[in-house]
Amino acid sequence: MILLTAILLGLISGMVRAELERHPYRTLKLKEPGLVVVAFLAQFGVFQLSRFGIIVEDNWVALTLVTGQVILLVFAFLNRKSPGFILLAFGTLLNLAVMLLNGGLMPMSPETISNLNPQASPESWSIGERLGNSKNIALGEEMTRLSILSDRYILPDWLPYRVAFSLGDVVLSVGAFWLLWSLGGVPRKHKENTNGKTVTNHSPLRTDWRGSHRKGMQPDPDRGCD
Amino acid sequence: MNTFNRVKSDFARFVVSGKARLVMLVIVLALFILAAGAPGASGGVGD
Repeated sequence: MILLTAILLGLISGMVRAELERHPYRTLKLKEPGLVVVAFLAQFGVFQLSRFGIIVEDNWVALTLVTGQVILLVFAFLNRKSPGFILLAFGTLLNLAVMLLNGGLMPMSPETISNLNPQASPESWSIGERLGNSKNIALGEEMTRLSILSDRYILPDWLPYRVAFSLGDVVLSVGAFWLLWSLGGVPRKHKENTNGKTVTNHSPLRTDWRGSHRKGMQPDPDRGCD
Repeated sequence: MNTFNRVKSDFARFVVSGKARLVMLVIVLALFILAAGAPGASGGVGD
């Protein structure tokens, strides 16, 4: 949920920005969005299988996670010209790196596990094993490669939501926020011909989310008419 | 039948509008961040 908060905040602040600057809130056309659906469904499927009593070995979970992250990297690369996607790719890369170096799952130290759930008995998990049905593996700091990128950060106590997150998660959240925030700003490029009429807009930010062409908006050449 | 046609044309208008593209963008971004966000404990897919 904490990651989705970045999307909600980005959307709200982007729309407020658009209203304040008197620009229409725009959207963009993503390249190959099906890749994201494939990566998500593969992970979702692996985690949901256990609900039906089907045990998936940790190796297969790790393989699915890593493959999914690689697919997401390809998607981010294809959309790299859109704002925020460099950060989305970088955050994915950070998480992928620490997972790859630690057997395909995201490491979490015993200290973080205890801080996260002080009531959990030490017998409920053991070092080197996957934590329940999660993406995490319990690993001591000294055993973890690139431990600075692992799930070692916890939200402050005054927040009711107790979660651990990684540096990659922070970068991902900033990327998502930036993308949605930027849609409330002015288009990057407007070329004007000698008559002073705007004729092209090569920015991927091109369509008013209302589907209309308000002040400052130009017709989308990819679409017939609105 | 008229109601069905009206719903169908309303839906078609929505699909080609900017609203549909924004909804799709937010959905794809949410799926991306849930799948790329590392761990179950931080609200990822496996949470």
